[in-house]
Amino acid sequence: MKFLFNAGCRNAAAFTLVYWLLSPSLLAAPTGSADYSVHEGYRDVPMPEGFSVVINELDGPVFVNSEGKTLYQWPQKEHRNGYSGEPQGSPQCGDEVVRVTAGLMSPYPPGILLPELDTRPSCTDLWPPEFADEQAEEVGEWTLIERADGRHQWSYDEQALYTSIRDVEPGDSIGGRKRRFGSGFGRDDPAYRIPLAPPQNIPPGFAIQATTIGRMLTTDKNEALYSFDQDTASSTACEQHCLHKWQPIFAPALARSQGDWSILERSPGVRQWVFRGKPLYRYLPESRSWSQLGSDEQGWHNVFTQPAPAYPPSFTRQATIVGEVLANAQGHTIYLYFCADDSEDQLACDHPLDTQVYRLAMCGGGDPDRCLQHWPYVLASPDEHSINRTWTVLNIDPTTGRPVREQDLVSTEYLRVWAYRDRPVYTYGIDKVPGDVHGGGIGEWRGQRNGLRAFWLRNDFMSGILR
Amino acid sequence: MSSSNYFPIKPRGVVALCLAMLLTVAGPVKSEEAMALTNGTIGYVFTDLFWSIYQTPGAEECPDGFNDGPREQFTALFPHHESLTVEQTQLWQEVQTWHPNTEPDGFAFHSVEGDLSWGLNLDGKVSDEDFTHPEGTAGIDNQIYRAVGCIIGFRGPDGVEYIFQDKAIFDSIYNRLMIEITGIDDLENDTRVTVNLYRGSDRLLTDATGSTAVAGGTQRIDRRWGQSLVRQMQGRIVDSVLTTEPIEDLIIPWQNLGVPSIQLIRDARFQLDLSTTSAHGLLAGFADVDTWYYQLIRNDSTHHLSNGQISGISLYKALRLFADAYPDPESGDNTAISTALDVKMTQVFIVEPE
Amino acid sequence: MRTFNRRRFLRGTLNGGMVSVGLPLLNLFLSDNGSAMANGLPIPQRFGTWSWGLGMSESIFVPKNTGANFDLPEEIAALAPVQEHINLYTNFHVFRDDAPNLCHHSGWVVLRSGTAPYTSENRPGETIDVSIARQIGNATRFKSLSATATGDVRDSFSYEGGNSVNQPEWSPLRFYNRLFGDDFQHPNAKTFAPDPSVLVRKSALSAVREDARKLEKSLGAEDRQRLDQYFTGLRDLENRFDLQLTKPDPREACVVAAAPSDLPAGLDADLVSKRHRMLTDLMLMAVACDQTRVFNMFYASAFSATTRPGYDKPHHTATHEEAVDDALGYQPNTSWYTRRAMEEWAYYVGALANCKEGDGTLLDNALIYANTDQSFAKVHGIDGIPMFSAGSAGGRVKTGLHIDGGGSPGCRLGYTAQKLMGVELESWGTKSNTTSSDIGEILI
Repeated sequence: MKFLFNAGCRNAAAFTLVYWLLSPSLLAAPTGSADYSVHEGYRDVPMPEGFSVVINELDGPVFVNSEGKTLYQWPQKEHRNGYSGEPQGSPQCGDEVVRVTAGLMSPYPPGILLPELDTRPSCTDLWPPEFADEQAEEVGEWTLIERADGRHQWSYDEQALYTSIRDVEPGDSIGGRKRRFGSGFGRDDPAYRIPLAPPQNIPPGFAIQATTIGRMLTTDKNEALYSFDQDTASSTACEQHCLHKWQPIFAPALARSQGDWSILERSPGVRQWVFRGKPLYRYLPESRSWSQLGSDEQGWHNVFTQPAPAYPPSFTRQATIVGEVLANAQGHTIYLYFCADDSEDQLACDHPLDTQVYRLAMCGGGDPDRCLQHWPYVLASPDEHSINRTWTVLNIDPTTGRPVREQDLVSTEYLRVWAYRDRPVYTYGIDKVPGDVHGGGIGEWRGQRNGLRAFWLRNDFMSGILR
Repeated sequence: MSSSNYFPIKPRGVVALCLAMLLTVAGPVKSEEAMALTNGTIGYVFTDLFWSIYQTPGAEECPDGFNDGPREQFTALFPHHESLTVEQTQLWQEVQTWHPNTEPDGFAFHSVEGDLSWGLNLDGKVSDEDFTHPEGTAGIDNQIYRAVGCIIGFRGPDGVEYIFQDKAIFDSIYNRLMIEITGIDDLENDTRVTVNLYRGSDRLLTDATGSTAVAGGTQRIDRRWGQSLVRQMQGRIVDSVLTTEPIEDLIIPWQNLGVPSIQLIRDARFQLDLSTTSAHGLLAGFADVDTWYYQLIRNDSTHHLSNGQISGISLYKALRLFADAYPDPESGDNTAISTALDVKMTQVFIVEPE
Repeated sequence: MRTFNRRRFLRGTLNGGMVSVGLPLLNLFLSDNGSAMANGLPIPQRFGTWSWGLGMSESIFVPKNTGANFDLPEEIAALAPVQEHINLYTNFHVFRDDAPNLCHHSGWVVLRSGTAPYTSENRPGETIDVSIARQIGNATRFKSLSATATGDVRDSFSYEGGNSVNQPEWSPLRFYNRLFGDDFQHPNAKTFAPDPSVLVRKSALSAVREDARKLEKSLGAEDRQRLDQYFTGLRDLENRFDLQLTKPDPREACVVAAAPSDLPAGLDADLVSKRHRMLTDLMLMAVACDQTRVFNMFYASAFSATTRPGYDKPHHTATHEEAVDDALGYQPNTSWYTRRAMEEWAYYVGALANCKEGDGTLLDNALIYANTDQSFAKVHGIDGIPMFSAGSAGGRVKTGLHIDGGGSPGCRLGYTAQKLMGVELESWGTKSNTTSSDIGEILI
């Protein structure tokens, strides 16, 4: 099995196909907390002792260590002026505090002193390596890498593994995030640490894309997949004229049902994939990837392996000239703040416990009062509280941007603000009426490295829902 | 006796006679081009759009040369950046870009010093700040040109904005503007027509290269997301040139690097040469300064501004300096700047969505 | 003697791990006149691709003359030593029809797959090397091999149908291990694949010494000389590896030596060159030893971030930010990067041309297809994207020519190449890129 996984994508795909076609007896129910009826399934693989899989409400199944801490990789990433992250077999996240910029993003040169050096953490301060104990044994894709100091670190597919001190509860993925798709969209993103996930339990020809509206099921060409209200697992109402717009997703002759996936024989020899009891289609008139156009048709819906966590009930959806955006109760567009520095270790600066230097500079030229005018927090009303791990209410000191501890609430002025992944969200002071999205792309690198990006719920022109 | 004696009109002549009879019955055959104008209506879709920049081969309008961009300014400001912090250098420059002001930045800004410019006389006056059209018309209002004309990124043939802002008009459906002219009695002369502006929903019909749009395509109106962009204006056609009355505001959806942004043109009007296959000319008016500026920097960020040697910091000051319309009621500072855009369009059939 | 007729590997063990060293085409395996295999089958034909990023400076890249003995403008002057082995194709076009011009993407996707992409995230079809590998790659250990000189595992122009990328070798040391270590080991077995750094130091050859001695006894003088040259080349490569690997401080002899590391990551042009040449030499060994017949080399990506010492802009940034020099008529620093790419292309072709095989060379039995992503990168131009070929595909292709395409589809070269490799095609490409017209000027 290791040979097949190591011999390139082609062989891995071949293995996956064989797995789905011929060996239902191998497809034992997974261990851990996977629940096919609600959450995204995954393929069982051997793990080191103590490791397990937890379902993350945003990122789906993730591997966690024996303490429930999500495991992350830091894959090598190309920037405008070079690389950061780690190639296989070569941990780069070290114990020394990096002091200067790396000049990876033009036009600024390398060698500039980073902010707050007296308190700047090292890479491993924020991302402790997942060390293996002396008795650890390699298993499957899990191998051991020797770090420069001689200690052994767990790796998966030869990418070293870390946890994040920002993760609090088991299976949290607060510290890192999935990178947005590939070269076109994610080119100027920071080199994120990515939660490690078990192999997906989907047949060949399918893919899952993380979006703001859920984990979207697509073809492997990123075409959105849809289901129809009037269909069932054993019958379809989409015939004849309906098929001019809707193309069934056909299953090969040897494909077998398993887990969430089953087969509908539309007509003798014509077999269609069914996911969670609904036959799958693609919408022929649409040409964009990850589209929602088909969901405009009555009774048709995009298909998700896992829905997005619910957003606060007071939030609204607003139409814009691009699509739909998440907005506060007053209809003002909600923005996420993204930030990472231009250092070798690409430390984040968008969490309230990270340095606030970048955010304060961008939102108000260093002036917290101006920040409150330009990037107002999205305030939570007194009767609003955290609703899930994704949408939480934080107590923030507006002059510093830092969280206020419980014991200091009495003595410190603070705001109760909504946060996404423990990072406050904002509106934009220039937005005046519902539907305004003037804050999107504000900041460095179109908002990807020290700036704002709108929280799209639907974007028919650019792939704004990708996360 | 030969057969020819019984057919005094030769067979070819018979055919010609039949054809003539058919034509008489059926009326004149309409050409494909003429079909573009149907029921007094013709549609055009934008294929090219960019700020009208009058250039001479030797750049005589820029006697002091071209302006520096962020990279050059950074080097000049921080020659010993290794001893400085990110806050003192990179973030300082970013703050000046994203929170611009009108205070001097220590850099000499090279604005256009020539007298000539493309554009229109928007206010009907001739003043000292105005340009003269190369064809002689005085009072040309195009202060945007004065601000950007000596910035290499805005100049042809290969300035980064010159290429990519225009390319986005062609490529991006988000930017798909089109006009539909109705009430046309005569495409060459008509005292009153109505011009509707919509956003389309479809790719352009192109030739094989993909670089040239061809007439005859179809565009569905974007009623779903683009309804707020719909505008209507009145106009007239004289010698195949359409001119429209100014409208209060015209929103141009314009992204060139993935940020959904707009331009806001006040008192917007068209002057277009029309044919049954294409239209070209000018879109002119007063661009809202802040909208103009933030559309540029949101899409480009400092990196792409740097590609065109565009210092946002310095440019904003120039925009505010040369702004010539719509004074702010409180400060009295002008908030809009006269502009002209070169526009090219291709004939298209505009239809309502299903 | 035909004892080694069918076995093209020497095998041995090192530190408990299996090692295999492929053998080049010795006379032993060929017919008496060296023009065919001993069993009468023709010497296998090979197909390779090579890629560079960001196009050319047309005024100093495109020769004034067409046909044979074409002039070499300064940007391609480095090709002089290999001019006789290559063909240059200019004024061939990529057609997009209604697809957008996706920067640094549309150009190479059309030339490698025949179809203009509508999005950056999707590859519209399999690339040409995959089609050819299906035809000629089934009899070798590896159906195809890919390598990238950038050090980034995602840099590849080789795609199966859909979005399945054929991941390239990005590390010379790992590539070496893949070729000479044995990867048929169970990961938990007591015997394990030898540490590649150890393999390099002690030499894979030391592990197969016994097998090599047996072989040499059955070889004629010419084969012994050829084998010696091959072993010398392999040992030279291992020594180059060893020089790159970090060594422990000899004064701290009591400290256990840290594991040596591979070539450092980075895109300095010299480092990229070093990586490219090591990967080329390894690839050459794999091809010469018939471990694969389809091979892809990626010198630089479409957004190439190769850097130049003393210049503050990497290649891609330079293409957009550097002004065209009024006097020169091109971007001088951008051209510097292109010239480095051409030096590497010359190295690559030269390496194949210097590898003797039968009565000719490896290049004689190969066809290499080389292209880039843009023509004039400053404006993301794709009209007239230049292409090269190298090799004569078993004597069926003329070389040393500059072909002007007259605005015809660039896919004609891919179509021609596939036909030469035996792929049954009525036409290749879609929409306006569809062609059934080969480039007859190069065919014998």
